[in-house]
Amino acid sequence: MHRQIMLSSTYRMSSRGNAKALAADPTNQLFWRYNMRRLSAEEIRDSVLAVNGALNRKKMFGPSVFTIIPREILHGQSQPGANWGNSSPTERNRRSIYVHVKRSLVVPMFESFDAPDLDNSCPVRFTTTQPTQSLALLNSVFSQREAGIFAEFLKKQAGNDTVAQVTLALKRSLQRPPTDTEVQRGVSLIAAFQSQDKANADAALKSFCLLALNLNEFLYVD
Amino acid sequence: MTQPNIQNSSFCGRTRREFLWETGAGFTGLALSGLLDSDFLSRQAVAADGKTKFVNPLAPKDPHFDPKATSVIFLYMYGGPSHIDTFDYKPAMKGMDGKTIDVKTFGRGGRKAKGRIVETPWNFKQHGDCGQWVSDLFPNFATCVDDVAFLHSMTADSPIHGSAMLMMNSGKIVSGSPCLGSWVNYGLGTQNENLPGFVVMLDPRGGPISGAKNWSAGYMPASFQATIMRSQGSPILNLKRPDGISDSMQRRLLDALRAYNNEHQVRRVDNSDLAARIASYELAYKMQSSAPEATDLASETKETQAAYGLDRKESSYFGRQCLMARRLVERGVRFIQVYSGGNHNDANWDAHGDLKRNHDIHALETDKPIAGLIKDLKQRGLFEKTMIVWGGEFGRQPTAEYAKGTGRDHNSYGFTMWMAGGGIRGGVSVGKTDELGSAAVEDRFHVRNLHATVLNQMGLDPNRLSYFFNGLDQKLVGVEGAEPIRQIMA
Repeated sequence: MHRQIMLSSTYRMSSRGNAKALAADPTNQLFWRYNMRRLSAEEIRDSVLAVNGALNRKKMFGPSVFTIIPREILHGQSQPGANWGNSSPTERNRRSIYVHVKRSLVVPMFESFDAPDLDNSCPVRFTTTQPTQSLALLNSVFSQREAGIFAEFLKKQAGNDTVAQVTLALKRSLQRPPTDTEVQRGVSLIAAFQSQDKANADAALKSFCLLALNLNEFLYVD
Repeated sequence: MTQPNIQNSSFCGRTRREFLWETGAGFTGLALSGLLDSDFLSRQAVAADGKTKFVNPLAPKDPHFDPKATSVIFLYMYGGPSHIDTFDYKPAMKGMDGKTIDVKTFGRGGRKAKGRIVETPWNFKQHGDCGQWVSDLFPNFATCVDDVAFLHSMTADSPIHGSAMLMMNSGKIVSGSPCLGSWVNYGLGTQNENLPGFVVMLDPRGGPISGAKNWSAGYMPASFQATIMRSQGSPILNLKRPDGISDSMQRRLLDALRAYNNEHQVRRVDNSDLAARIASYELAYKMQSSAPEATDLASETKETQAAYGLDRKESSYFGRQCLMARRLVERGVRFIQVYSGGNHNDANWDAHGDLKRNHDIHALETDKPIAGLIKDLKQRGLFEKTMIVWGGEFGRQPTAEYAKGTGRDHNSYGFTMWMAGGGIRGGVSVGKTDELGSAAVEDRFHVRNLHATVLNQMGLDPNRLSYFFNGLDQKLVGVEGAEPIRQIMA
């Protein structure tokens, strides 16, 4: 049945809109196009790790892993830190499906990106847009760490040439070759971080990596 | 407005409002305008330029009727403060200390038919014009009784912390339902988009049993969840710009991000999620400075800080939180919950061991700050619009839990809470427990009546405010509904 659905022309349609269809069926009840969607909470985390090369794809199955939950969130527990273990970095980089589920202690990023409340069955997830998501993707320890790992990855794969680094970063994040404009914008940004904001080269590249992991095109699937 | 009970909605049987959340509080095409409320539309400002104003699911909504209060501060005495030792004076217990009597109780120790009386170790005196009895635990708060309505006949369904906490916070003894603050924000939206609409502040010793379940939005979208705010350091998770990134660098990054996002959006202009997300970065940027401003207590005068007990070590932590709560109210935050007590046992009001030691500690931490808060709200003209609720998940038993010692077990058969401000009458006392305080006997109220009162004062009809989930128009007060406690309304 999966094959039948996935090979149908309906399933394979693009999500591009057109004025006529939008006027006739704005909510796509009749599936004249594929619904554009945002990545789910777990997909966002997995995608970040896939893009910067950290994702541990090799290990499947086995016991759950514990991601790092900030101390201020653990503080909400009556026994802060109780029953939330410490996994090694390799273990922690496994897919989100392996993250331990504890109803009263949800990984903040998952919660922010509409992972469902674990007390109820959830037929369809909400897709909210709220500033806590942006704050998480910009400022969280997770994002900062993964942006740094991304920068190291780029330096290893693309050497020290900024054009090559930016091109590779966007290629991995957007899953398509970037345009010249997009590359140039990134290169100029990195230069400006250094000349105007007095950041060193590493910090500048890391900030560009952070940007690449915040792009709408990274979060939304056509 | 509440959700209408629509049977003919076109999206998986859900209401229109849920559909809007599904699409990220936006809409997929202008042709939808025929389906939407005009007040909703007037709040939209979609433009393809990417500088779209953020469409906030917490945008202000009209209440059902004129509200008395616009904000709630819930001072949560976690662990269950003993009513018998605080506000419910029981002269009949005098001289009975140590006597074993027949009295039905139900606590964590199970159901008992008799017990050994523990007389209160504190003195009670009458205060104010209303003559409310208050124990020596609260010398400062005692001076405020003429502004307060006491509920002496509260009852709840469970004498166990986890389920009792969930009931007091969400109306159900099992987890998964939205909390009081979520309901308030769902019904009214928030007045200040730069701050969360539902704030929780925790005790330094830890959170309450069940943790985040006590401030969860349950089956409502994550927008209605509480935000934990700290009273020291960076107030909200991820609010602080990381070390090594200057404001100008972040600004430059955000501008570049918007440039990329604008290009992406040009060929996907019908997806308003994209515009909303672009706008949410601007809001996040603003929050980085507006939220810390709200929590910056250095700008408060020395007198004010002292009035909240900041000058004394024991009361300074809770005092800071109360002062922050006042500031948040001034800035339009709808619902603020401050926990006194955390973790387990004597780290909170759960006095199973040494009753005197336990309550002396927690009263010392909270008495001055609470009095300071009430007086400060009054002098700033905020008291009428701010509803304060005080209490825990249950009270305590008149009899000892163990063969030896003064510790009291939990008691949900009858306990005391109080309310003040927000159109609540001052200097009144309603309901009664029996002569020992073992159970409410007159004018018995349930937690859902308290919840109904909170919603009512905020201008929401508790029996009308509903959220469709799981085939039911869910209400905070349950399908049976509940009446607000009208005796305490001005």
